[in-house]
Amino acid sequence: MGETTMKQHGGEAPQYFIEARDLTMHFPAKTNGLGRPVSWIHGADKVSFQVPKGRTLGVVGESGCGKSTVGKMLLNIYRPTSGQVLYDGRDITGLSPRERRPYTKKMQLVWQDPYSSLDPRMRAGDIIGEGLENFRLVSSRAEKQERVARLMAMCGLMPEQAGRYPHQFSGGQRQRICIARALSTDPEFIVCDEAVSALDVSIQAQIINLLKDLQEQLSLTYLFISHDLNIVHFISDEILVMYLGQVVERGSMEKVYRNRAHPYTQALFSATPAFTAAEKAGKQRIILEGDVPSPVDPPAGCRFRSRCPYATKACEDDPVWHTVEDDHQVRCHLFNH
Amino acid sequence: MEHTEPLLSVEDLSVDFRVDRKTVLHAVRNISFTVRRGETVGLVGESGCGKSVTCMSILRLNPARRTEYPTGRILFDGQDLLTMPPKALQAVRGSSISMVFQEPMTAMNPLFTIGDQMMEALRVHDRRMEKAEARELCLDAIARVKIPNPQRIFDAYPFTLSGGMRQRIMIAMAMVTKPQLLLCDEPTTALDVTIQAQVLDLMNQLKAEAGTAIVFITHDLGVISEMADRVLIMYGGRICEEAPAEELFTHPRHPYTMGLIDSRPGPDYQGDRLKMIPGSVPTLRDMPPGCPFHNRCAHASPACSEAFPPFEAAAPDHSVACCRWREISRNG
Amino acid sequence: MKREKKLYETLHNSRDSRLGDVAKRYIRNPAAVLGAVIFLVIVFVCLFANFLIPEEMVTAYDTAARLSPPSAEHWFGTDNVGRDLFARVLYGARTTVGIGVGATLLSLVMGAALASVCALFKRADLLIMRVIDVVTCVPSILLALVLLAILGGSVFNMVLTLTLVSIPTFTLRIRAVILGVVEQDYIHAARVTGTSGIRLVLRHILPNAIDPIIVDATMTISSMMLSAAGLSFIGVGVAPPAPEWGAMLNYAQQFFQTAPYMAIFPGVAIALTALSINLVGDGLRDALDPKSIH
Repeated sequence: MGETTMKQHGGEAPQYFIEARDLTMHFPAKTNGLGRPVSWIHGADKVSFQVPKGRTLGVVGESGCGKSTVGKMLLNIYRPTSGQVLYDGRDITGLSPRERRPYTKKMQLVWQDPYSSLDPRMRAGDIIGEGLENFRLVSSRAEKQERVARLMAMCGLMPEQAGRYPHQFSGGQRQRICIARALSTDPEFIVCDEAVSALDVSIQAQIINLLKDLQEQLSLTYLFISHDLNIVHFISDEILVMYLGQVVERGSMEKVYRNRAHPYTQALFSATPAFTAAEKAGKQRIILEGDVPSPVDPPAGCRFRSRCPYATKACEDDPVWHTVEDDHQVRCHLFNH
Repeated sequence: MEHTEPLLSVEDLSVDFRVDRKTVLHAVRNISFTVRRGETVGLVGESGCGKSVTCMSILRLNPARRTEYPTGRILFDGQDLLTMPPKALQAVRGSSISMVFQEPMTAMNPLFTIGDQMMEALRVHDRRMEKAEARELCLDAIARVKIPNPQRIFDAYPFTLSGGMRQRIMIAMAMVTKPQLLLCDEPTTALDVTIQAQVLDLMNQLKAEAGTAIVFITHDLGVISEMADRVLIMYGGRICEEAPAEELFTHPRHPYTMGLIDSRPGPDYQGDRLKMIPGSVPTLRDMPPGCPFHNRCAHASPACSEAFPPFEAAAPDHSVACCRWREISRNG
Repeated sequence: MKREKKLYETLHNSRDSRLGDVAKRYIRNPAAVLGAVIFLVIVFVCLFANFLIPEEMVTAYDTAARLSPPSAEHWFGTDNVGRDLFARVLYGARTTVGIGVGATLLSLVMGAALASVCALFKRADLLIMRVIDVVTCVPSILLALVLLAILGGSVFNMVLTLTLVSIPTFTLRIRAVILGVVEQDYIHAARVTGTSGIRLVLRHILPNAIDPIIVDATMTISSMMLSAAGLSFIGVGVAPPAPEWGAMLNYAQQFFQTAPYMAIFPGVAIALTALSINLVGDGLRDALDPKSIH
């Protein structure tokens, strides 16, 4: 049913699978006596990107940069203040819950914290099977159990453990349950919101490899949100660097990595600690002064200018996008000529 | 730098947690290490490996009712901290040994200003100190952690500060009594990378100026390689490898250390999948016998599940607890 | 139709499996089992009192044997008009426990329903909260008095009154817990997997919100019993000849010097009931939480 509606609106084949156009999210910060907001937290401002089918877009930035907000807007957990989300060419912002339902099925999320994102009072099998029931993908209890067992095996869990409760699993296993739950509705697009940050180092690699395996088997498209540049670099085809609600640089992962254009991107990459001698040798540390400013009603102009070592008077105006090279753009006044 | 006499020496320390009459969990088992004056020692490991428990034992901050120390001594300046009377220990805490926690917000009292709390720390240890003098010392300490306007921060309440700022204040508070040893338990884990870089840079500078020895606990190999002179890798309550930082990252000997290093994708990593350690991190309740790593280890032999292997010197200053390290070490 | 059947099925399945686990954990707790046994005995007495002792005994009085202490003939003694206390305590269980349990269950269900509506619909929340604000301005005892005066004193009206009076507190308490629960990641996660509406409430929100309330609710049973007694004493509750533990206790006060057993037996009955219910409540809280180890 969902398929046909999608095709009707698709028209010609769209170039991108998931597209965000000027997504903006403002949260009320302070309200006056009547409950009207008087100032706004700029969670995300005019964020635009495209993800081709079967690829991974990495989103990096520090806390408060809006990377999680973007993921949640795509999945309608937050309703964007303005802007559009396009799924396979169709605008899916502002759909009614009924119209939205086929897209809910196709777009899933893997959460950051595998401890708080599983209902402590449900068994693993019921958690994973819930999506199957919601979209009536199974017609009997036996079929549900079989599908759950297959999903569990696919995610490296033992199907015999379906009757256990979340607290009886380790962190890594819990994240596998989250992944199995996300896969239960046959999604095509998955947002991984800091999906490995809460895990132990030796477990992170397991989960990353699992996500890669699943992407290959099921031709999934990922939006991979993380603050860990090494992991984003490993898993992503393309990257979006965000600072204080805005995208400052975007492009192919390799190009951005080899040729970091924005001063913030440079600082971010250099601040990631290196541990092999070879890495350390080739590294020049840039230590930024000061803190990330408040996201409440940020001033006009480049938002990074308060910490930027190259800031000039020109930075008080809004920067525009410049093309550094093919498939690599930056939003910085340094590239004005 | 002169790294000679040990400032702190932990000898054969074991820490048990009593759950009920029948159950005892072995959090730390028979570990020994030393910290020399002015040296930074990194304790690295994953959750439940005993790194924080070890650190807390140094100041006896583990929950007193449930904790037992069946074996071991912790010698600081020749005195055993484990058997020291509470009064004497209180004098050591916060003056000769200070601590920086992971979450600075919970380590500060929200009802008092930064200045009040810092001055209190000073005056607890020296009751005769004048208020004005304490104030001068505190302002100086705040200035030394590179906060532009010390006076403003001195009068501020903790909740008005950002995470990075709070952690710097914590460091300032810890350093104000000019301790000989600073214990840092994941001090930058809650911070963003650019802020983490600032804080690490600051700690290295302070250490160079004051000659304070640091025990630095983290799960982040990158952070430890930037901070530590010597690194101890912990797993399942045991130390499994000890080496100078450079040596450890270039010539790891223990299969766990190798696994940890390999499972982190470096920026130039070429390959479709990450190398990974199978299985999950054991909890204290299901700790395997013998070498705790043997059930995840690709090189395990039957002997590994019987007894924890003795330490062997793989190189000067580099010791490893693995019975097969010779066969598996990669030379290079 | 089909959809409802499906919904019923899923709920039934999950409840089925969960109930078994809860029972397993409950049985492992000896105090809770003891509480359950005592409570079951009390319930048994309520249901089958008329098989144990003929109902006439409750009101039949023997003026010659007024205020006689416990004996083979009158196990618990007699009261100031010569009624057999054993019969009255036995039959009193029906009224008192019935009122306590009935009013608590009813207000719990109503409170949970209202609180769920509050959590799901912002507009309704605003309205319900304002109504509760107004109702809670009136002292609850006054409200109960007025209601009972209008309705007339009977066991059913007593339950109704006590329920109406305590709905606001229950709603507020459950709402506070629910508002904490709906912000949890696992609720968002369930939404993302397509769970919505009633199903979200019944499967995720209420189980996580109600369990903490259950202990509170069991405590409420005893306080409801006491309120019922108080109202009876004032004269708007259950009419005097009908046996009711609270009312009996209140009468006994005047004779406490001469006939302490008049107070002791209903008192012990109330205490024992309250204790057993509290033990059950504690046991349930632990049994409902899959993380508890016993």
